[in-house]
Formats: sequence, C-alpha cells, structure tokens
Amino acid sequence: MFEAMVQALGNIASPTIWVWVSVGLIAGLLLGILPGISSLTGLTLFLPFVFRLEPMQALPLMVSMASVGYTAGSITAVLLGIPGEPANAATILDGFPMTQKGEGSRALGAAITASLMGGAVPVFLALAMVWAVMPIIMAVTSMDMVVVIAAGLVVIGVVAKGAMLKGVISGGIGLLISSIGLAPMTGVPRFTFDMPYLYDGLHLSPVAMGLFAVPPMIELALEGGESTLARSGAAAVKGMAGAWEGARDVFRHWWLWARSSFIGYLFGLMPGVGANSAVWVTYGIAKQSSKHPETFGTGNVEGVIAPESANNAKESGALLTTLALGIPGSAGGAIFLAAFIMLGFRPGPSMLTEQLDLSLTILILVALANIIAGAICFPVAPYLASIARVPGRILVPVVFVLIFVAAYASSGQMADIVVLLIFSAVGVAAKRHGYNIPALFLGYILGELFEQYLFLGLQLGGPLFFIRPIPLVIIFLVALFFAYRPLKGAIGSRFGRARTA
Amino acid sequence: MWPDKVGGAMVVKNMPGGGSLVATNFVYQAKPDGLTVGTANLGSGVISPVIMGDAGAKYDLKKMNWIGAYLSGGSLVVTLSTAKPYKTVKDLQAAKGLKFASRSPTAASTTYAALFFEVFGIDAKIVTGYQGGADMALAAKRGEVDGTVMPASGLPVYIDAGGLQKPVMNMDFARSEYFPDTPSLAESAKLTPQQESLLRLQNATGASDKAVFAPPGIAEDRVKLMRDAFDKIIGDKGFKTLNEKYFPIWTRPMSGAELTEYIDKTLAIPKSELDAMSALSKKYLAVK
Repeated sequence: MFEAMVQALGNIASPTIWVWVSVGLIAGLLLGILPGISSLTGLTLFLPFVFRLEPMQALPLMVSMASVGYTAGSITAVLLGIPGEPANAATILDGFPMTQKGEGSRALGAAITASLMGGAVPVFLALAMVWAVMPIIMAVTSMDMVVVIAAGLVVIGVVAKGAMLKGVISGGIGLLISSIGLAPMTGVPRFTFDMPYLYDGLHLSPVAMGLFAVPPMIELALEGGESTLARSGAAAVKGMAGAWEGARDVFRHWWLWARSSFIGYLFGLMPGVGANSAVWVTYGIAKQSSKHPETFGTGNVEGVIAPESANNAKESGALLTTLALGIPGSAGGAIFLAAFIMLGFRPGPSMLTEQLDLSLTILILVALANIIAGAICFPVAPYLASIARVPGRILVPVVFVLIFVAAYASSGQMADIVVLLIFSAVGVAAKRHGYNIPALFLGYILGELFEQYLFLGLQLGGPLFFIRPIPLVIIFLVALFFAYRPLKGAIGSRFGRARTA
Repeated sequence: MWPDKVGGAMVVKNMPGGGSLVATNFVYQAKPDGLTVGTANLGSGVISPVIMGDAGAKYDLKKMNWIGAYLSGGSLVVTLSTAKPYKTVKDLQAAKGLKFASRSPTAASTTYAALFFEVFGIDAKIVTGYQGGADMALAAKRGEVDGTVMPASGLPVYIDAGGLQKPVMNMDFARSEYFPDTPSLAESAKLTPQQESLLRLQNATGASDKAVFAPPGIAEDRVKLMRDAFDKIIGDKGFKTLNEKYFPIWTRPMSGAELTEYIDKTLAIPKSELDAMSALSKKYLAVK
C-alpha cells in the first residue's frame, strides 16, 4: 500500500498530468454549467479520442471532467432553478428560493463548499477503506436492494410533510410515470402507444426541466417584468461576504455534511442506484433531522448542503466499484469502464492489488479536481449571483431558450420537447393546486429501480425475500428515523413533567 | 472513414431508444436521397422486432436498402458462478432448483439458457430483470444466481473480475475462437431436429452483428456508391488494424448483396418455429 501510494504521488507530480487535468476541469465546468449537457455527454464525446492517448493523459482528463460536473451543475440550479445535471435537481428546492431572496451568493458558497469537500474528503475515506469495499458490495444482493430503494421512496413522506395526502398522490403519480416503457422484467410495453421513443421510459432531462425549471419562470413572467430580487423585496444581493457565509454554513452544519457525504459515497458504491437517488435521500434525511423542517423548500441552506455533498461524494464510491469489480456504478462509470479497457487495463480485483498505484492515482486526482473546481467557482459566485438583479423580461426569454435547448440536447429528438411541454403543464398545475413536485419526481426516478429490484427479489427469494439481516436492519433504521422525533418529544415532555412535579 | 471514401462530410447522430428501433424507424422514413445511412445491431435490434411482431417496428426489412454488415465471430456461452460449487454440466444435471440470470424473457441469454436446460435435462429457472452483462456477472459473483449465458467476447472481463468461470458450453454448432477448449452444444449432445432449428434460428436473431442500411427508394446508382464505399472501408488496411485492436469481435464482413440474401432467408423462417422458441423460453422462466 505504501509503495503504491508513493508511486501514485509520483504520477501526480508529473507536470504533464496537470495540463490534462486543466483541460478536463475547464471542459467539465463548462459542460456542467450548460443545462442538459452533462459532463457525461463530455465523457462520451471524448471516448473516441482515448485511442490516441496514453493512460496518464486520458485518465486525468476524464477523471477531472467527471468529478466537477456536479459542482458546476449546482450553479444553474441555485441561480436559475435549472438543474445543470439531473442530480442537481434537489438543490433547486432551497437553492433557488435563496437566490430569490437575494442570498444567491450564500447558497452558491454553501453549494460549492459542500461539493468541494463532499468530492474531496470521501476520496480519503475510499483510500482508507479500499479493503472494505469488496465485502460491502458483495454483501448487498438484489433482494436487499429492494429495501434500500424502498427506504428512498419513504423520503416521499418526508418531502410531503404538511400536505401529506397531496404529497402521497404526487409520489404515486410519479411511480405511474416511471412505469412508462418496456417493463423491466417482462419486456411488455406499457403506455407506449407503439412509439419506440417511449420504450425506454421518459427521458430524465425534459421531465426535470419541465417540473422544476419552467413553473418558476412562468410565475416570473406572469408577475410582470421585475427582477426576482425586486419581487422578493430583499434589500440587496449579498456579495463575497455572502459566499463566505455559505462556506461557514457548511462548517456550522458539519455533521449534516459528513452524513450526506457518507450516504452519497455508499450510494456510489452500489452499482445501479446512482446520484439521482442519493441526493433525494440525503435531502429527506436533512429535512427530517433539521431543527427547522418547516423552512425546507423556502430557502434553508441545509437543503443545499445535503444534496451537493452527496452528489460529489458519490463519484469516488462509483469509481471504486468500477475499478474493483469492472461493474459501473453509474452511466459515467460505464464510460470509464470502456476507457479503461481501451487503454489496456482490466478492471477487477487486481486494480486493488497489483494495479493499486493506478487506482490510487485516479482517486487522488478526483480529490484534487474537486478542490481546484471549488477554488475556481468560489470567487466568481458573488458575481454570478447578481443574476437576481436581472429583470424578468430579459431573464425569462433567455432561460426559456436554455431550457428548450437543454431538453432537446439530451437525446436530440423533437419528442423531448413535447415531453418538456407536457411536464411544464404538469409542473405549473401541481404548483398552483398545492401538489408536491419533488415527491412526484422522486416517485418517477425511483419507481423503475424499485420495480426492477422488487421483481428480482420476488423471483430470487419468494414473497418473504426481505427476511434477511440487511433488509431487517434497514427497516429498523427507517422506523427509528421516523420514531426518533416523536419519541424524543414524548420522553422530553414526560421528564419535563416529572421535573416540574 | 466514410468521408475519405465518398467525399463530403458525415454527421454522426446517436439516436438511443427502443434497442435500435428509434434509429431504424428514423432511417427508414428518411428522405431517399442517399444522404442518410443508419447502423444498428442486426439480429437483436433490427430483425428480431419484426419477426417477433413488435408494433414499434415501423419498417419493412424487404424494402430497406442494405449497404453491408459486420458479423461477430463470437457466439453465446454458458458460464457458471464462482461463488457456487458447480463446475461442469454433470454438476448442473445433479443439482436441483438452479437459477440463471437474464435480461428479459425475449433476450438471447434467455432462449439459449432454455435450450441448454432442455437439451441436458437441467432443473433450473431463468430470473429476468438484470440490466446487462455486468449486472448478471455481479449477481453471479454474489452467489445470487448459479450462472448465466453471455457473449463469449464479453466474458473474459468478468472471468478476470472473479465472478464467472470459464464457460461450460458454447451455444453454437462449432467451438468459439475465444474458448477453444469449451465444447459446442452440437458436439456435446445429439440435438433433435427441432432443437437444431431453434439453435439456427436463435443464431440468426440474437447475435450482435452490426448492419449498415439506408431508406427504401434510393436511386440504384446511389445505393451502389454506398455499397462500394462500405466495401472499400472494410478492405482498408487502417480500418482492419483499428478493428482488430479495439473490436476484435467483428470478424466477418458481409457485402450489401450478401446481407440482403441473409435477411430474406431469415424472414422465411416459419412462424411455427418462432412459436416453439418462445414456448421453450417460457417453460423455464421463474415468473411467466
């Protein structure tokens, strides 16, 4: 291990690596900030060029490009309510209201700091826990995954708090929407109307754009041409001081950051679960455990810290799974897998033994790329936050163009625009009638995974497939999670009464 | 290499969806001016939806202009989990209640697995719903399933990763060039005429060959130009070197005329054989 670490540090010290890291960072930041075009698109486009490069040229570029996409994606999520990458969707819920209140730079400061630390620190956790990775991945079977995903669905109940019935209905509609396409187990087409476009289900990008980005823009347009700042009545946009305040928020909520990063990392380790689930689970836990859950959705900085820590932290976990098992933990991981094979490496357990130096080099690059990306984004955050001063009559058309381009860019089909329009209408109607958009989105993204693993669980273990140690522990933890507050309240009031008496 | 051989630029557009159906429908309906060509998986992506009667396949295989194809040399092989005690076909025959992983009830891995169980009288069920080779290999490594069927070309990665063993059976008439020590199905058992025709049918529809095609109605001279360009590309030394290095599974090029004949033969397979194939798969599914 020591020798491998020395070798890895030697690799990092080479100046040429930094040229490739810089190119990857700039490309990753630009692609991440453009909604709809994710760093995944960049990786895919770059793949054909891998042939022509040496491993220590291609890998630094790809690793840095993949590592910083979520950091950049949080910028548009906070400032415009548009998720730069689908895994930034949860950041909108509190990040965008903060911008509307003139606290955009604070939200960005928090998002960038949480991303930077969420991306960098778990790498060291990964390095320290290389030996534990394989047993963890091997222990969790498809039967256990059903309960992991179900625990994610329970978050619907958390985000729906306050208007539970409408929240649960919204989540249910999301689940129904997730069933569009070929059934994962039987291959039977459902709600596809013989249209091959629908065979793979609805594309994530137009659905996310329609639900999250369009409704606030329509609201802004309907309420006249004022800027968001003028509408909210906030005094002014906070400058650099705001960004530092956001950074301090992360340290103030260090436990929230650490917990969310750890959950993100664990989700990354599990092949097939992905960042999209991790951000919502951490958001739900943040809300449930917050001292002020009622302020979530109106601009609580905790709602920014949790998902932004998780989505960056997930990458080091996913990368480790790809290296150790040759099994990609995410779509980005799949591209990496292809690149590794093209470069002549055979991902597998040997990456954690004979080729440990290469794995360590990659993990250290992830940490450094996150730190540099944070250092680049942080100083410009206050300037970007001034977008809240831009009058709606200018902002709305520009953002609408971005939304349409982003929805179309995901797969280049006109049907994506139709889906965008339909989900924009759904988003506006849901907002107007008090239905819960995050619950709907959560049902939509987790529904397919839940169904896939549920059927696998039933086929493998029968109806009582969850009577196993891991599922039972998770069920117990979820029950504890919900019972914690009422129990604490009950015990507190009892002891309080006892003391008064 | 297309622009080098034909002149002019080529814009490549990735059209995901429906396992090649979106792209194939798009090409079929494109303007017949010879400026649009498509490429997709021939067996599973283009032919199979038509012969299985998928309503989403809005194209006529007989009218499509076939430019050429690259057939994969690799067949599908039966491979077992390293987490289980089974090493040979005999071990499997002696076991009860085995589980094999597959993607879906109509996937090639399902049909081949069903044929394997039927030929050797193995007591097993096929668990469907896995996302692909990597997912199935992980399930095997965890001991969730006892084995799976996958392309021989893709297996070495998973053997190295420690989840799957060297194959016990090559599901073809001859041995695989990837695993020359593994016996083929045809040499290991006396197949009934129906089993033999099922193997032939599955080889035609399930293989992951790449075809290049253009919409119907294109002027003949333009089709000729496209076919010639394809032939020139596959004959190019630089292309061959790249292909051998990075895509060693594409070993058998096919001209446009040969491909047209191949399609006609596949379309002539009687419906009764297709029904037999589907009934056999169904027999071994964990959930029907």
